[in-house]
Amino acid sequence: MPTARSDGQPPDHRWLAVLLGFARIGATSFGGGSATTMAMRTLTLKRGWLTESEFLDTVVLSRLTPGITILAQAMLIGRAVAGVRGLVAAIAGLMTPAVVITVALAKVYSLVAALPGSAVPLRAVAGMAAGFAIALAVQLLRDTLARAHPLRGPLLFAGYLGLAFLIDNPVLVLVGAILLGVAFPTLFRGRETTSTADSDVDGEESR
Amino acid sequence: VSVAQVFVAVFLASLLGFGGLGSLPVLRGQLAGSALPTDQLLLSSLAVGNISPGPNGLYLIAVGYFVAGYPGAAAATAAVLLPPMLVLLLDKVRLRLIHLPRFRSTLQSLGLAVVALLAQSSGSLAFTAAHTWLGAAMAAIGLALLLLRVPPLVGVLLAAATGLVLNLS
Repeated sequence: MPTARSDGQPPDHRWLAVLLGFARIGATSFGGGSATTMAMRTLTLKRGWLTESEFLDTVVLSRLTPGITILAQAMLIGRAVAGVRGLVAAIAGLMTPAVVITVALAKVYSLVAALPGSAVPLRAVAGMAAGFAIALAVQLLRDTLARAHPLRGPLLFAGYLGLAFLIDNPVLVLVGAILLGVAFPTLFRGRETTSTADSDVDGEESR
Repeated sequence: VSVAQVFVAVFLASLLGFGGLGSLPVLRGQLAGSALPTDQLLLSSLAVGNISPGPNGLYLIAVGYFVAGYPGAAAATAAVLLPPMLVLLLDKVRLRLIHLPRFRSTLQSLGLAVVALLAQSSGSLAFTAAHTWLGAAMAAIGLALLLLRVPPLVGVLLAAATGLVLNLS
């Protein structure tokens, strides 16, 4: 991974800049993955911590990682800027305000749900959330197919979708996907890898 | 459901899912065996996650809170932090792995499977939400709003306001 250039801060204090920068993102980046990724890009480029190409490297590598992609990317950026202290600062900065706000909103949601007359508004909110989930699935599908073979990609997706309906156990479907990927690598040969990085920042909606 | 069970469920869902909502199918599968109202719980958590700052995957923390209060939220937070740490290992071996066709094909295969599972579980959640005309209409509006890049908070406020107006009328 890249190593950070100087941003005018003494090296010993860089973790503090990371902590404050990521805390601001964690508190203000409403709008899901795309908003958070763009805020991290602005922070790292503005501070001169990473170049555009190095930032894209963190995007690509974090997309290969299980779990919440943006957390993996924050770890890489923090470590590049200030080592292990930077890594911890990035995660603490990003997560603390986001978790506090999420739990506070969940608490408010619970309190509202206990009020008389709340059933209809909450039913409407649940419907809206279901629509959001479908939209995120559509965006993720678009991003995934953009990197897959134009014919085999959609066919394989359709096959996995059929399995998802037939097998009532997502873990089994995932294990099957791993075995298929290992056994038949040519099936999954996608588009040229040069286009991957270009599409990666745009493809952060569902992260 | 105990705090330890929340931790295990969120950890496994996060480990087996790539991306923010990639964890949804596995978590839904695990919760289906419990006595919890799974779809309602997930829809409420997604609503909270959508209007919170940060990545979409933080809906898992709302799940933890709804299931086991503050300890549940803390357990879920710890659980979502662990899988992304694999990026550090991946960074060490990436130069060797990234060019291996089997490694790339496995990731590609997993990516397609995760999206397929997400499409299926999102569809099921929408089916649950759409058993009333209001839920169906809101699901359609939510889909359109997010695809048009309207901030989720606007959608949630619109839904809540619509529900309140219908309550008064």
